[in-house]
Amino acid sequence: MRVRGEALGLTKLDLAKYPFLKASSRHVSELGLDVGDLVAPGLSNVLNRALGRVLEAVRSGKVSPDLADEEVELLSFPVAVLLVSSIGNEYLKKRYALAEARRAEELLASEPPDKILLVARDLGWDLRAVEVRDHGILYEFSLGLRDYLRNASGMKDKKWKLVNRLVSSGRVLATRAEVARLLSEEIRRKVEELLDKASRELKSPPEALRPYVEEVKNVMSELKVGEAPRLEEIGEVVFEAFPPCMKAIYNALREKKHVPHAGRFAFTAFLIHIGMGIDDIVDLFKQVADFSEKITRYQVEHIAGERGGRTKYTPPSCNTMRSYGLCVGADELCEGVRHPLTYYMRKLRKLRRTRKRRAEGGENVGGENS
Amino acid sequence: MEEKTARFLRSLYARYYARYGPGVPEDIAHREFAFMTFGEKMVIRHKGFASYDELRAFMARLGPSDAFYSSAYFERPDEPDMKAKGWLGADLIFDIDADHIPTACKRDHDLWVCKACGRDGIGERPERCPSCGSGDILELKWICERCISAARDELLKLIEVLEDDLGLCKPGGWRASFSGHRGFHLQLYSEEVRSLGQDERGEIIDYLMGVGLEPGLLGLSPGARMGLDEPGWRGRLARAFYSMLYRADEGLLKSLGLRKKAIEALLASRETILDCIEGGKPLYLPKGIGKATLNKLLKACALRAGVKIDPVVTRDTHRLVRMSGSLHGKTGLLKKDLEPEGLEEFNPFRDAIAFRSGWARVEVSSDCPRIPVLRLGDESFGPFDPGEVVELPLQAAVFLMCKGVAELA
Repeated sequence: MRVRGEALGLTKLDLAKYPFLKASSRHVSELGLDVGDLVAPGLSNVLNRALGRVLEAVRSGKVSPDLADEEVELLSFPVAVLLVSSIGNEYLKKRYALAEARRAEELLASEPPDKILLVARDLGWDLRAVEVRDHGILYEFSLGLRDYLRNASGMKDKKWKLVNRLVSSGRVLATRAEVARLLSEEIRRKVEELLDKASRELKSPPEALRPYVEEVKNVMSELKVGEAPRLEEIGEVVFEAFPPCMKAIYNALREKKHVPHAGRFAFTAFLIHIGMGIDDIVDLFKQVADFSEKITRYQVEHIAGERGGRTKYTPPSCNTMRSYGLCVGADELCEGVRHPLTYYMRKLRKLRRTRKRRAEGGENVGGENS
Repeated sequence: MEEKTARFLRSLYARYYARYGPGVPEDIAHREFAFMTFGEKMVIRHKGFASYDELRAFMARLGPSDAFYSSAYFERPDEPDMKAKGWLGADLIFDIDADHIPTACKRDHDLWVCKACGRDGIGERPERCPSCGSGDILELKWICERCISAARDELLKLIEVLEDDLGLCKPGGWRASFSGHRGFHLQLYSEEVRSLGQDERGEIIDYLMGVGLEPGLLGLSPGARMGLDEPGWRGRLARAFYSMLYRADEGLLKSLGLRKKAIEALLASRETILDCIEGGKPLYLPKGIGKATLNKLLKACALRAGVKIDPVVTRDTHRLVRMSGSLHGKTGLLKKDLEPEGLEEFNPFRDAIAFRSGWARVEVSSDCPRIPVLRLGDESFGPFDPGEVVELPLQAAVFLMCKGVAELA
């Protein structure tokens, strides 16, 4: 069978390794398969591998490559996408996309540079091969600023910050492992897009997939996957669980120190999102500072989305807080989060666990009723 | 502002727009427009215009004190619900404001007055009046050649970093302007920047300002070679470190948190270190100065060498931007686009003047203990005394009325 991708330097093995590429889906559609065919006995391997991909994503968050049969590895991907979108759980979509991205990153990291270039080009990147040795590090690639920012701006480690990169005339130097990591971010989004597209086009799950859908659902409920609590349902507001930045703003307000507009905005949006009512927030501001109630109420309502543009504003991410000079330095829990709200949720859960343990241990937990 | 003054300014601005119009915004049909008015300070938002002529006619009728358009492009710009507008992308905006650059002249010409007890002072206003504790404070921010020149230096630095490091200032894709008040705007409108998200813009901001910079990650540790002419932050840090060390004294190093022993050691081997940097030799550091101290010094250098932009403006993908060629409501000066080659010679007091003929009689407010000198064109006006009635060239009279320190007499 002729693989059109070969003209571009991608072999059938490559398509099996990277089944989300445009070249891969072209190849699949040229085979002229449709979902009805998948129950044909010869293709049960494909169905089983698709189920395997999804279940591994659910269980361990990563799909392991299985290149024993290239055809099965390639064809099982679109089937897995169909399977995940049939289940229609947003959390599963994200988890599956991430698991496929991790699989791809592992494979990419051991590819030669020219292969990486082919994959990147298929994904629309402006990537070039270079050879720069600097302080003992070999940079084999330079990528365009936009491709870099799109994929690195959400990463937490300081080494990804643009200010810590070697960059000149809009080109960012990167090692092979770094490019693999950045590509995996692109791939994660790409798989999410494929899942969204499949969800939109799907009317009802194909008959052949029903048992597989049930199986994935069962495993998910066994493992309690996809049932993270929503912030709005958390209940009362626990100051102890506030991240350091929000505590600092609160304290500054209380001490009647100047808090810049961005800080007051962040704090208000934070309070709204952790479920504090508008009246309570206005009261809080009244207590801590002598603001005019009318103006305060107007602004709080605006941030809550009840006025003006009707947008409920989300508090700024850690990155933004840092840019605005509102981050007061991280504590241990901060290390693992990118958003003050995530900090609050995690800390809250942690506090509750400790309290529960204490309560179970028969210790006196005082007047706490959470 | 008295109604008489507001009416006068409204009609003056309206006539200006009828005659000259504002600048022509790119892609009018996808921008949201917003206006403010003199006097009752109305805000008119969510306006959309299909053509430039429609926009100009509207402004000639309204005589707005300030005119803005959205940095964002929308499918339906006149839709009041932000979500329903349909965001298509946004220009990348930079704001350099003399307010954020410490200049000595602020102590000469900025002043504040407590409206409750009448106490006044120079420089930036305090949060509360030191005498009576009231927060109701009138603040008078003036402009002069020195603060404009400091802001312009930042603008030039901004353009250089965007061009050399980030490859973002490509011909035909950007515009620099005088804001009409105390600073400059830089607007990048090429296709490639429009789709940048907030976090991506945030990375550009941190790059420009030197926020989050880790010298070690750039290979700058004891024993490393620092080249003054290296591209990007490495070279910029080397130059900033060199000039800081060249000028450093005990007070400066102490303010950066260095201990006495470290300060002595550093100052004693200053010449050797400067030689290392100049000659591109491995960086020698004396005993007592280790990686941690070097980091501290370099991070301080990074914040000084960074470009002083307003991070809030640049990150925002839904910002309202003052329109080019429109009049500023606080000065009566124009927001004026600058030719790239003319940046260094630009003088707002000569080049951003809208009203070149005519006179007006104004009465200086009695709330302010004194009004600083105003230089416009080649002439100086003032200082003025409280309550004084003067006949002034129109531009100077408009400036005082816009600043809220005079009423039409």
